[in-house]
Amino acid sequence: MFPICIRYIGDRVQAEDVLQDGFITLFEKLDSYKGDGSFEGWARRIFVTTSLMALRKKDALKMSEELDTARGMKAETVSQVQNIGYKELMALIMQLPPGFRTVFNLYSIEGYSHKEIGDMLGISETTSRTQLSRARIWLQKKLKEND
Amino acid sequence: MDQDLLMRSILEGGQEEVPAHVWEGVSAGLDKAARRRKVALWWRRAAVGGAVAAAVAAVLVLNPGGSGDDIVPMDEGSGLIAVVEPVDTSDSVNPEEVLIAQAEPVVRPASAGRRAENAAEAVAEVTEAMELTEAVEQAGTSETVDVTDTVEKSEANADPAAEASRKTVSEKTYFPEDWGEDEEKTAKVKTSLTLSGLTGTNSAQNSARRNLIKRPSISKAPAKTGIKETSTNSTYGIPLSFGAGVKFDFTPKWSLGVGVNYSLLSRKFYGEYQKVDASGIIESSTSSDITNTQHYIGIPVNAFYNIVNSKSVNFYAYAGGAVEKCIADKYALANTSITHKEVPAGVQWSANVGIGAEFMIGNHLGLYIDPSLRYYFDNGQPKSIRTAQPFMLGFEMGLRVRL
Repeated sequence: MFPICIRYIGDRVQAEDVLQDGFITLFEKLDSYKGDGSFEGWARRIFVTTSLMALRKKDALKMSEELDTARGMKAETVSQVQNIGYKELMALIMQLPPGFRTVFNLYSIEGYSHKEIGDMLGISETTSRTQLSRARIWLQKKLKEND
Repeated sequence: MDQDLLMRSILEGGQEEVPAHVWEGVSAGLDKAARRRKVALWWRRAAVGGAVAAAVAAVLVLNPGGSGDDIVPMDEGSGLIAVVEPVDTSDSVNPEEVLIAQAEPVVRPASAGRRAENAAEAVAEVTEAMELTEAVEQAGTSETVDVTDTVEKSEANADPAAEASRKTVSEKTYFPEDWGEDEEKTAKVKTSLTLSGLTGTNSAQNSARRNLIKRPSISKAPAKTGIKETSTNSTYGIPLSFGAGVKFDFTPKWSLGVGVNYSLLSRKFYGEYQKVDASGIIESSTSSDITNTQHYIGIPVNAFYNIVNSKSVNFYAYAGGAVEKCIADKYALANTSITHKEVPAGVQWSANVGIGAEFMIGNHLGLYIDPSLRYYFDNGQPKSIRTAQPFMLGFEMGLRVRL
């Protein structure tokens, strides 16, 4: 669960606090787990929620406006991603601006749709798509730089 | 291979070392939460116990059959109470200090990072998120495409099957639209502590009874040391009350409040202090302006009906009554050191109805104001603003702490 917190928060020290809160919540609410679905999935949901709450408290869920100049770049294939490992990918994700990172995590990693993300974060589907696109552009740019 | 699936597989295989202080913080946070539950439970029990004690005290202290000195009113034949005029008092209602239950601070390792104190808040927030329905999951996710730049178009052209597969990847969660809303769901009966100040007005004096009123029954006992009112004019001070109470929310709409309050009534009149010996002969008589203060201890009980219940402001209507006992009826003669004290028999019953508004300050503290209409029954109590103007408009304000 620690990687989940790190991916959302983007800072290891702050992620430790979120991890702590997440475990406290998990232990406090153990009796609410009714067996619907896997325990890992239930626990994962707690930590994702805790991470998003922490970001919201810090007002870090504002959608990023960076990389306007990067618009128009084409998406590369997956080849660049295949060549990196866990640590490099985590480092890249942690460097993402908060808005990009949140949408990227929810869409690409957690698997939520843009509509669901929009409902969660109070943004439009278009904004969610835009943020995700720009996040991918940003990642691709960084992957190219690292090659 | 899909880029997202590839990244997902890379990330799921990763591990991160968790520092030891995180586990220490978890342990401390769980202890903290357990202590908070105990403290809240203790306050709730104390509130209930206080209400029971107040009721028992009412039974024991408010003995309507007790005897005491009665003031022999002057001008028994006239029975006329002149027009009363309020006396502006310089005293203002000073709200009591707020009682806020606070758990003991947790001693945590310095390296433990953040706040076990916020653990309970985090738990409540996540609980809120966890318990909301899965409307988003079940709703159709027919996404419309409206993009302009190249990359966004590529997103729009993504395989719908891949899009549909997202729904099976991880367990779905509906995150609340209102993030971070704390909501106590632990107690079925919510309890609040109230600290209040109440003042009444004499604005209703024009409609109050100013003519003949039923005077206290004239004692047939021999004359005794006491006060004789030699003037029909009295000036009344604005009555003030302070109290504390408990409010129990039994349902979202209905609540019951009970408490203990102290009331101060005052008036000024011209009268005579007569000192009478054992044989009934007046030894001395001193005429002067006299200040009469009456001190009441009472138990109010009110039923509340919540009209509007929101997180920031509540509006409600209430009705109820109170029983009060005059514990001291003091007279002080101006320009002299002469004072006289009585303890009147009986109790003062009253009924009230009103509306109120409570403005929430945070999740546990509310500032309320309750204007009301009160009626004081004729129970043979000493002369006061209440006997002169049984109908009074009252303003109560105070602080309410939710436990």
